[in-house]
Amino acid sequence: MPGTWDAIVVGSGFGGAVAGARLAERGLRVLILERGPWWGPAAEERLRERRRAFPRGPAGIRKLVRGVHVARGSRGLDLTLHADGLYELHVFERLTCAVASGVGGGSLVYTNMQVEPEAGFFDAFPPEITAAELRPHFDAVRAMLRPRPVPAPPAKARAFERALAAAGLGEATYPDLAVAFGEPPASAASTSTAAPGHAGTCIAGCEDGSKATLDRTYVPLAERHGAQVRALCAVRAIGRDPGGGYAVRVEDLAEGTTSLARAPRLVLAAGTLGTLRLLLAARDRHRTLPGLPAALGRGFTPNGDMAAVVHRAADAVESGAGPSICAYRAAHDDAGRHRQLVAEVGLPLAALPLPRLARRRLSRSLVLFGMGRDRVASDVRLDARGRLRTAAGRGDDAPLFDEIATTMGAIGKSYRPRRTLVHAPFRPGSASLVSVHPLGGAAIASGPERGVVDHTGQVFGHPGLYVADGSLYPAAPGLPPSMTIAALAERIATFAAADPDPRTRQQRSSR
Amino acid sequence: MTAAAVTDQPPAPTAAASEHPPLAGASFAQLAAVFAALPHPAEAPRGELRGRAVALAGVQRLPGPARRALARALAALIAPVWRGKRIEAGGGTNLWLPPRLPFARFVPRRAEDGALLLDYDVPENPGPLRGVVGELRPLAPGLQLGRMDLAVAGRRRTVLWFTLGD
Repeated sequence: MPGTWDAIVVGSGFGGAVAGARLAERGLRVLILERGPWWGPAAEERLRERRRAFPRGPAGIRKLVRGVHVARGSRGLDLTLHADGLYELHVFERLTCAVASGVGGGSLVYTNMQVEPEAGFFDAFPPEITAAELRPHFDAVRAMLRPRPVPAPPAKARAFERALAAAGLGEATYPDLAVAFGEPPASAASTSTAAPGHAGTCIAGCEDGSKATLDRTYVPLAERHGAQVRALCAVRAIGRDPGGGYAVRVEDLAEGTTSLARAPRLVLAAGTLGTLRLLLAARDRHRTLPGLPAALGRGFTPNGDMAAVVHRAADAVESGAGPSICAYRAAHDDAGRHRQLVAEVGLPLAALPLPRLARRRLSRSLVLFGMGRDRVASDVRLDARGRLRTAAGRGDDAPLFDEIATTMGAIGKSYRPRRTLVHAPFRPGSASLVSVHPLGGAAIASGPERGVVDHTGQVFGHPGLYVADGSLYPAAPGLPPSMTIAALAERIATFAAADPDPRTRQQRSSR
Repeated sequence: MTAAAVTDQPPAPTAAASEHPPLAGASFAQLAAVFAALPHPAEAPRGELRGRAVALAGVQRLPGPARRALARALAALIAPVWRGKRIEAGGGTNLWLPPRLPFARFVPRRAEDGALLLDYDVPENPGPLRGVVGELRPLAPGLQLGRMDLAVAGRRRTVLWFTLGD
């Protein structure tokens, strides 16, 4: 029957691409639905109407923004500027989130850091999941993305080291980066033969092929095993299929048509905000899955994200050269557990349509980006119009954000810049936050009274319905979350594929 | 054609997914057949849901192409005026114009056969409206197909088919 699959995966980021590839590899007929287009050089062989060049130049830069969603107080706005845009902004009461859209999801614009949490972080997970138990799944991600530290630190990383030393803050940590440093292709599974270059445009899309993004690694693996990947196809709603399993309503943004797809397994990996919107709408608005756990929407966290701008450092930084992030400084609590980090972020100068003079001046400027194990644990809900709302803000864990701000201020000052804007783009004491790592809300837990999904990623009481993205975090890691999401998706796929026919249990659970 | 291009085809629309715009311009008889094949909803939707007129009474006797063209034109005219419905636990209302002004209240209730009815026989409504009864059935996840009947001289006549959802 047309539109019927063994598994439907919503989203193609670190959760969806990984789960889709592994399910297809195990012989399932998989459909991967992605609301954004194929981007950049990896898309050259795709259908013209479903691929886009990265937003560059005075005309192309408009596609940098997909849309803006505002839900503050009595105000609400849903503005889609370009359905094929790269970034989407969600403006909540005291939190603004920036998320990506495209085949490959967040990997298209992230800073390449592949960081494993320390073993103690998994104490917040169900007992079946430990660092040791996850080891083969982290190794599988490593085998695909081949991350390693930058072999020759560029000028901006050396400047960061000097700033840390001047501030008395110890040494820099060089994390593993999913970047091919002079050895194409980017991964064992990659189809790319592009030469690497590290033009410093990681956060605006990498054109030189050096990033091991998911559209070059896991997604081609999924396709080689028969998965269908449909770009510019947005899932509008989910529900039960009267014939068993689940149905999703899909809008083809390129053609303006809608269709249904059905499967006994539905894997939601639309990014935290996308997945929460689909689940909350199914429970509270469309009422297609009214029995979803009461814990849905609880425990949302911005991952302690915070930014500062260091404007025109005294010495050369060469902000736009090299991977966007090469190094960070980590801080630990009294018990030796990771608490927060501050990373140096180069500006994507090669991607911006700037005059040469501005580019030269900005090459001495950079961003410091912080993450921390916040205790925000806010609620996310839908309002009457179906807009996501949350009251998460800096005041939910002021000590942590103040600590990150202090660290960033000290590091920034050590660059001897003209100005350091701590807590950019807000005032230093503002209660607002900006996050590129919205996490939680569909927490993994040992029971439905505490969370939304069990240790296999399956939603409590909903056989065959899985969550495989950042929304299943039970707490903020204070680290880049992508590698853990990918490892968990590897694990989730093993359970989802092993279930011979979830519809049998679905019939039992709906009785 | 490359293998990648072959796999990047849009999903084939299925019969059950024949929503608007394919529903727009369908005849009352065609819509009634689609409606009859749909199950009763297990739960009523909640919140403010976008409404779209699909077919109206008064043009049903026109030949197919003329009926379809006129129905689409009327639906386009109605779109900025009738915005949809707000449905809450104990009642609901229609929403009008960009400020989403509430007018024409109803009470959702279950019929004996399980149908989800929108009963306009509430004291706040002007007399002529109190004879209106709507019914919703799930066309697809997050999308309902609705029928609006009006009691005229003791007989119920369908005056509007619409969709409701995101």
